[in-house]
Amino acid sequence: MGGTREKASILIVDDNPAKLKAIKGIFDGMALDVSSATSGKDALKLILDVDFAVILLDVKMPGMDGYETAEIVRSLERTQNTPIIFITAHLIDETDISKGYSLGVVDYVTSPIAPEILRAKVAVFANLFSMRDQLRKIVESNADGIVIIDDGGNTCLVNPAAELLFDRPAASMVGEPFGFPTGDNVEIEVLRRDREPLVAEIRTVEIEWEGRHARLMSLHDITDRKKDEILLQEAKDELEERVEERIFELSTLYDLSKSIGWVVKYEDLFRLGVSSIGKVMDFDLVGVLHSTESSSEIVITRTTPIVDTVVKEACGILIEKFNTAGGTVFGPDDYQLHVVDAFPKEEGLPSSESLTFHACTPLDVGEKLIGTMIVASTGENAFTDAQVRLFETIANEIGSAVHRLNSLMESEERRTRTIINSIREGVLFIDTDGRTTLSNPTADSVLELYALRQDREKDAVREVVEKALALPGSHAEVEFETAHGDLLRNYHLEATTVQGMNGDISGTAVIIRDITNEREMERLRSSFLSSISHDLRTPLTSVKEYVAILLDGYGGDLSAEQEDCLQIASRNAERLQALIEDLLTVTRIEAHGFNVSKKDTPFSSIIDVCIKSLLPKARKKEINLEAESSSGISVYVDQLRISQVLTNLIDNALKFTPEGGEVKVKTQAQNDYLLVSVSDNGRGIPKEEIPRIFDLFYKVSTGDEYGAVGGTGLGLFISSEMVTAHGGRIWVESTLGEGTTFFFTLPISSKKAGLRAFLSDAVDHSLKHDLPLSVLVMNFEKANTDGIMLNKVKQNLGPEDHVIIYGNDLESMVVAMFTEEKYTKQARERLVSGVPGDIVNAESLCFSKERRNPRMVLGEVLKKLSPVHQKV
Amino acid sequence: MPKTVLIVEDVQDISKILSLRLDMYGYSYVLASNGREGLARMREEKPDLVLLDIRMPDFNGFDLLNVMLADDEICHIPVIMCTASAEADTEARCLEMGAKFYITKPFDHVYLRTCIDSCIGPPEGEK
Repeated sequence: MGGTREKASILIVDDNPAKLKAIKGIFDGMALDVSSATSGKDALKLILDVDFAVILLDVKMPGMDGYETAEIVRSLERTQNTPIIFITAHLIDETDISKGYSLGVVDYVTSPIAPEILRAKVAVFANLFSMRDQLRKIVESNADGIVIIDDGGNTCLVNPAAELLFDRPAASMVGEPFGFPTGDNVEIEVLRRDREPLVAEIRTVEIEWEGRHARLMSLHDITDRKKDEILLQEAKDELEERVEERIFELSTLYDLSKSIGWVVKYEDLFRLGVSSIGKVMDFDLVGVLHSTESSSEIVITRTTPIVDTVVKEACGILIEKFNTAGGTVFGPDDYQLHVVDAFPKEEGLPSSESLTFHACTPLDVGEKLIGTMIVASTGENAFTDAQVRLFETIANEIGSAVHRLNSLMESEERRTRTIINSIREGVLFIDTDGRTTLSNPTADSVLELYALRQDREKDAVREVVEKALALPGSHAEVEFETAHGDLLRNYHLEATTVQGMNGDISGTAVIIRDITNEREMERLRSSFLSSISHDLRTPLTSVKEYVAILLDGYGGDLSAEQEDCLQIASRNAERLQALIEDLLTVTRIEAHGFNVSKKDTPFSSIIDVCIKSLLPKARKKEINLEAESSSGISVYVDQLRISQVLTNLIDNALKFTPEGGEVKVKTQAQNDYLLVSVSDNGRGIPKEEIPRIFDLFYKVSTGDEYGAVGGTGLGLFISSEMVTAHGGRIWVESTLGEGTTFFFTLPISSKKAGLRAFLSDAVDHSLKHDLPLSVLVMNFEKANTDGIMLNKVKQNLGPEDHVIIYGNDLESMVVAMFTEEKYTKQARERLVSGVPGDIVNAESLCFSKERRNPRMVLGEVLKKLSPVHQKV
Repeated sequence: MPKTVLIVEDVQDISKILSLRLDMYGYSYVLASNGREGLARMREEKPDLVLLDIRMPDFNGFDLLNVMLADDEICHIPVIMCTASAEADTEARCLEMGAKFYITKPFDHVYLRTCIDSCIGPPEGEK
């Protein structure tokens, strides 16, 4: 315990002064203030001034006795809890004791008094008193408000701090319900008269108060802290907002600088800049002045429907800024203006007649000024300084990007120009407005000469460009011929549309190729082929025929030796002929491929011709050559080509089959195909040679066994090419020592199959060359097989009608025309009037691109064929 | 009188062997060594058949055929075209124009005889 605390006071009340003195003496040496009174009355006077730790009260006193005094003490508020010890001279009975306790007497001391006991008892109360005193002082002096409430929720104690806190005197609170939430760590808000509301934090502890359970609540005024917290939060929020703004600005700039690196077009660059600015500020107009050595342009983007005078005003500001920033001074109209409207068309009326606020900044890189940029508003609200700074940053970015693009364009253009100029072909680039934006010297010179001669080059170029733009493949070719001095020259134009960055067509690239030499080579090759065949065949004809006529007995009978010699000459002439024919065929195949003109042909007629021509050869070798007659099946083939194939295969079989052998030709229909086989019982082909047998110049090694075979190694190659050209397949099966069978397939031409194949070709042709397709269907009165009808029809159609004709059954004819519908109708009129009497009806069918599939076309055509013709 | 065949052929060796064959088969013949001569002979002689070479200088077989088909006097005379420089579409062209047969050189004399026979029949008598 601290030594500074005040001494506790005790009061001794006894009517006997000697006894009083004696009792007082007991407390000598103790740290007590001992007061004394000789009557109850005196005692009551004292207790009004002093708080006593304990009162020692003599029970038996004259006048007001101990009980009476105790009762009054108890009734006073100040002393109601002051402990009282009764002093009696003798033993008192039980009734008195309980009477005393009921008055709040805590103990009895009987005389003679045992000093130690009394001292001990008093010491307890004195301690208790001083502790309580301490506690009160603590409570009262505490800066936090302290309120004690009992279990009933009524207030027992309110300290001065709490009085202050509630702005009410303790007296008005004690004994009343507390009226606030209680608990630990609870915040309460106290509304106070005439003063600001206050926030207090409550901590609660369970305590014993005046002998009963109670709760002590300490109330801490946290109003200031709260205020600080709110201020702090506000400051924090503001900071965060600013950080977010800054991050947004940075990310806008980052996005801009990231995407700006990929932009290769000025307008994209400006668009990007405008959208970046739009992210950070509201504006009505953004403008860029971009000036290069060769040109200056201003691009104005308006986001609201501001009037043109405002646009002009912005241009003026841009130019003025440019001129004052040290740019090459230029006049008010020395630029091209592009206005981009970035607002919905239906958006209302012009917002204002003039700009109320703007920021304009030069675009410069290093020392070089390349333009100016403006952002402007017609509204009342100006931009903040931060927004203007940001705009300048964005303008900087755009400035560097423009500069980069300038140099890129320059180097790219130089490079492109170098490449294009060094190309042998002529190169043109035509933009979507039909202007030539790029051309190389070759193109210039070709077109210049052409223009001088015919004033038609534009036509050729325009034609190919238009075609390329119209075609789905975006690609077209055109050829023209022009005189170059005395020389005719051929040019080939090839146009390909070029797509810009956004996928739109930005123009057409045209390549002009001089194909005079190619054309000349083709002409030469063609005439060479023609003359070489003539020059080889003509003398051979003489050799063959003069030998033949001698062998036939012209000039008299021959001796056996003479005949033998002439036979050898004849045989070799045959070989030479075969060799020449094969060589010419191969040369032709390699030059142009095949020209196959297919018709419906009964396969039996092909077999008959082949067998007839080879029978003499078979008989000579005593080989049994026979054909199983096919049951009138027609095939859709080029008769001449297929005869050549079959002849070649039979001829081979005869060559490789020993005398007395057998060669058989069989046919068998398989779905849409006719399977033809030529089998022999000859020597067979070694297995390892089979895969190469159709190769060019390949000869089977066993060939010479039967003598005088000597093939050219071309026959099977040619056969294979021809069968393939008909959409068929050729293959061989062979067993060494037993024989060989060649198979090939050909498309069967039921009338329908033939017609289908024909129409399918027509559809392909029309789609491939992007031509219209119509089909003329004619039905004749009677079948006409002498070719006159065909000729009549052809004469009446003529090449200008762009026709291909199908119809060798000649009960009907189907003509595919690749011209517009009206011409097809005209052609039909010509036919009906030009071939009178024979045509039952002629109808033209037109097929739009969507309807152009072979099945649909066939269906339509079949419907138009007369019922008689459909059946076949 | 045996039937007469006009041979229009600029290569002498060929026209000779053709004439030898015709002689052998029993037909009589007339020779012309170019197209124009052939046309003249045709108009003069009115032969029963023409063996017409295609490739001749100046006025070729096709030219002759075109002129004769337009001439009512001689358009009915059957023509067998004969050439050494066959191109892919020559046969079709010949037949379309109105020739009866088309023979490539070197020709097979058996086939030649078949063609002649099918046009005008044996040397004597009706077709």
